[in-house]
Amino acid sequence: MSGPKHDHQQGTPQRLAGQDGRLGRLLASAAEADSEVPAGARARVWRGLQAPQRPFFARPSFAITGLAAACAAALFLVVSRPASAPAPSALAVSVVEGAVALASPSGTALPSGSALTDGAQVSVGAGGALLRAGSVQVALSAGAHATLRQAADVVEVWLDSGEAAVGPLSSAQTADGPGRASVRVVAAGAFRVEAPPGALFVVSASAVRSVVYAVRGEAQVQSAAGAAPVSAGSAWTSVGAAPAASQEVRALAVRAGGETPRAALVIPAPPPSVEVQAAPAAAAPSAVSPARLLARAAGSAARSAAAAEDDAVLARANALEAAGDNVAAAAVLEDLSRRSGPRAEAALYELGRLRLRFLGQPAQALAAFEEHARRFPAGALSLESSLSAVEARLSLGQDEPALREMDSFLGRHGQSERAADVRWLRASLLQSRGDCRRALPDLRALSADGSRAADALFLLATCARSGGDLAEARAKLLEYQRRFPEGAHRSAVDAALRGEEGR
Amino acid sequence: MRPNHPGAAGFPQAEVAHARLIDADLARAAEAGDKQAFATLYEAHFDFVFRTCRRLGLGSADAEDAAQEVFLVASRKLGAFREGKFTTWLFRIAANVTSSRHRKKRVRDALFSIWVKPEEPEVQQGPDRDYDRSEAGRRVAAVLARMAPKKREVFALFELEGLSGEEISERVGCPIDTVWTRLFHARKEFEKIARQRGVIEEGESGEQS
Repeated sequence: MSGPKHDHQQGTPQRLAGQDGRLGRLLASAAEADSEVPAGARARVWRGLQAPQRPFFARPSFAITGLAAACAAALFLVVSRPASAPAPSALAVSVVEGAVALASPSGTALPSGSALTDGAQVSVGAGGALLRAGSVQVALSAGAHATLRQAADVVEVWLDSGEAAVGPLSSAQTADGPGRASVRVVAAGAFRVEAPPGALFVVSASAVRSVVYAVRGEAQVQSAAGAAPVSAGSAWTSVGAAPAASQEVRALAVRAGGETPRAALVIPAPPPSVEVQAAPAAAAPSAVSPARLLARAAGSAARSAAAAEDDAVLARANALEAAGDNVAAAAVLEDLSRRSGPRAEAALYELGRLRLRFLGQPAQALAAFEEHARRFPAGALSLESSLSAVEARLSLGQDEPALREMDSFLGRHGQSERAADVRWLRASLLQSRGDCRRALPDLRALSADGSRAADALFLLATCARSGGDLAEARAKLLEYQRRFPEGAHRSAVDAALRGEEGR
Repeated sequence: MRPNHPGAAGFPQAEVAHARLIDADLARAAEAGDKQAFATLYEAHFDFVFRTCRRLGLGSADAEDAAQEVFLVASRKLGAFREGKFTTWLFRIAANVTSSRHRKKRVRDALFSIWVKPEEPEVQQGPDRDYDRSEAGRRVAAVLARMAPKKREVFALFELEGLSGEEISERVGCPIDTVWTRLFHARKEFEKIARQRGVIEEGESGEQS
């Protein structure tokens, strides 16, 4: 195809708009389309800017973006309130004890008994803090950073870093509270933990992974991969194996446990390792000689010191990112990723994530993920990095390589917690390219059960319809109505069936 | 109730107080914590930011959200603005924010929005349909959303906003020869995506016959 005519030497090329043909008319019409500011927009946006808020980019997002954020440090605690209760203008959250400072106005200290306002960004002092919301209390670890928000019928506590324990107040403690509440927790917009009233659990967030320890009652963790129950005494983690509960986690659980005697608190032991958290490939040969083991032991102290230093660097990058200085955060991460230290893998993954999500550099992000794959083929974050690489390729319009990577991913990790998501993404992409035939196996598998069943069933109907098999399409739509009467596509299904009947 | 925005209840004297300050001065003042200075910058450039977001392919509601994000980013990074045109600086932020939204939306659409495709009327349309403006805007926006960011910027500024090469060069911060090169490739990309989406048909191109 030859390009539109223009002459670099002679000046401005001719605009396409207004030229003969459909494209010219289209562009001419689009150029005339209304791009004026709607009435009230200026004031609405200004009000939004004035309200204390969490940055837009830190809000929960959909599907694959959530996958990319799976190991981000943000946690989001949601304290749901009775539907009948009127939404308060301020948060029904108060500081019960501990040192809490507001990020804005800079460093304002809040004494115990202070009520927190919507959008308050708080930093927790050295002794930790205890917040109270209705009949629930939230214990925050020392140094934790959180943002409190009022949603339609919930109070949200975003935890940028640190640990939080959520537990019930005793009936005596609730006497002066505004009412009972149940609790659910969402991590990084990708993981949600729900628990009935009375449950006690701890959520820990780091740059590498999120961990949920259920202490009392059963919690449900919901992610893009589906729901997973976490019963009392067990733990759930976003990647790899859950680490043993630290002293701080145990202390937090005690603090959030109301009047529960300490002896009754049972912090779960880490579950058996389900995914190997391997060191960099070069340091993880299949057979390790005794001499190397001895050398490792001798170097363990030095590595611990290096790990502490790298942790500090990683924390600095997280703080820069939280402050909105993504360029500086990326520079810190890039530097850390070049080291051979124990946090190089996390830094490299975080660097790619930052480039992809916040810096608008999908090509550079892809380079980071590819480097991650080379240097840490069996790393703890290899699963997430592979998925992020797929996202980067999709951002770059590299559909075919993305499909190949998804094929490869499913070949290697077909039983992983991410497999259903990848299967779904592959099927969606193929369908959107008009290749229903290749999408069908995934769609059929997904439609059987799981969190993608409804979506997959609907897509099966769409494929059947686009392929001219109206009877099959109708059957799938009817199956959707039967199996998912409250499904997200119900109205579209109903409309499609009405359309079929009108034929 | 009067809206709390510059020029209204929030900062009634903002424009007057800072009318004679240039953008760089305002930016420095805003960075130092002068809310009125920031309000004046907002007042002066909101339309520009909103229009930029719209021209780069965002819908009206999305453009409002994006404009808020642009000013949020700008407020944090005022220290990074030292010289040059403030609008050029804002444009870069707006283009990045818009780009990020397109990227997220593409992925989201791939996951959630494909079902409505069969219901869309575009597959039944012939090449001679008269496009009304809003429909044309929507279709062009859908194509723009799938373009590479740098090509999208040049294409939208030239073909839709009607800027000259020099103006685009200043706005996006690249030499004018680069503008034309990007435009050449942007047109090819636009046509390719437009064909894939059925906006134009095989054999059609923007090339003059």
